[in-house]
Amino acid sequence: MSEQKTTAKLKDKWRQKKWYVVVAPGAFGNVEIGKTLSDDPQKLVGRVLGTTLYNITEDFSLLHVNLHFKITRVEGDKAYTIFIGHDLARDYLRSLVRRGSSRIDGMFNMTTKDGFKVRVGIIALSTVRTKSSQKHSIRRLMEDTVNKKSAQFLYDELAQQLVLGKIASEIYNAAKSVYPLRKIEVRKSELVSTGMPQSEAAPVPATTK
Amino acid sequence: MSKFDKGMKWGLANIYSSYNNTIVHITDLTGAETVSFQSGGRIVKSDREKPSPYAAMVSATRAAQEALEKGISGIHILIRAPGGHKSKTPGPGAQASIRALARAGMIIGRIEDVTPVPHDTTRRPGGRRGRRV
Repeated sequence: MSEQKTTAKLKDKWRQKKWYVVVAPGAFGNVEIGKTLSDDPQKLVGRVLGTTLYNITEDFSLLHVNLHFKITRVEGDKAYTIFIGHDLARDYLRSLVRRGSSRIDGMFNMTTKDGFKVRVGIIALSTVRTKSSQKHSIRRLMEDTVNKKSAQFLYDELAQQLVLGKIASEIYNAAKSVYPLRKIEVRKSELVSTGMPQSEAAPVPATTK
Repeated sequence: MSKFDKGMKWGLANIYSSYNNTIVHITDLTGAETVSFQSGGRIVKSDREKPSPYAAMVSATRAAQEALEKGISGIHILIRAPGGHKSKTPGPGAQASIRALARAGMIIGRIEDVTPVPHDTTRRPGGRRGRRV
């Protein structure tokens, strides 16, 4: 039968493919974040793999943080990645946003010490509804903190700070005098452009044939 | 992951569930390599049965079997509805397919809703007075 023929052929193809171990960048402890497969190691470059922070830190309260890594280079059966951003699980974000309290969003661009450009989205949630002037000043505090922080860190350090909530808590401490806040989170980050040419962070060629 | 032992291979189950069909697509963690693919239309004869829980269940079971054969034993489930200006709630096949994947012996990691939700929208077709059949 034609159906049997195709499955047999597919299986053969599957067997030709080799498994590669995907490794997180140094900032995330070089841990194994998963496996992927391919018949040609060059095809791995540019693939994006997601994982949660819980997988890396083993901290169960961080299950809602999704990290995204992009494969930049393959050596042997190991694929090395860079961090290209994170976001929060949708159900977690939705559980934060509630009626009767305000949501204050801000999107900012950061440039790190080594020239990486990162765009971050920060969300603040108040306990009670805030006036727009208070929203404005909270947003300004976010921007100040982000600007102050951005030049201090290398990209790897910044990635950790963003994901583990160091920057969020800094903003929280600055902004809680303006209005009582329930939560501040770095909702999203994405790498806009890489900085200094490094072997690890070399821009990924877009040629996929 | 606490259950994460080194020998185990994880994959993604991308489930697309609309009111017209259910598609179960199991890939590797990057989503670039297909492991197995099944949809309602491969299971049932008539188009109106494609979104049914039965078709979803059978397609999920078949997809899971193929994945297990190929050595994928754990999956993270990404479930989506059509999204955009269409329905943002998954169709009738969603739940059935998740249950079937679990019953087929797959280890389920996390389950997430990845319906594409626009921040603003283009207008839904049908016009102001709705679709007139």
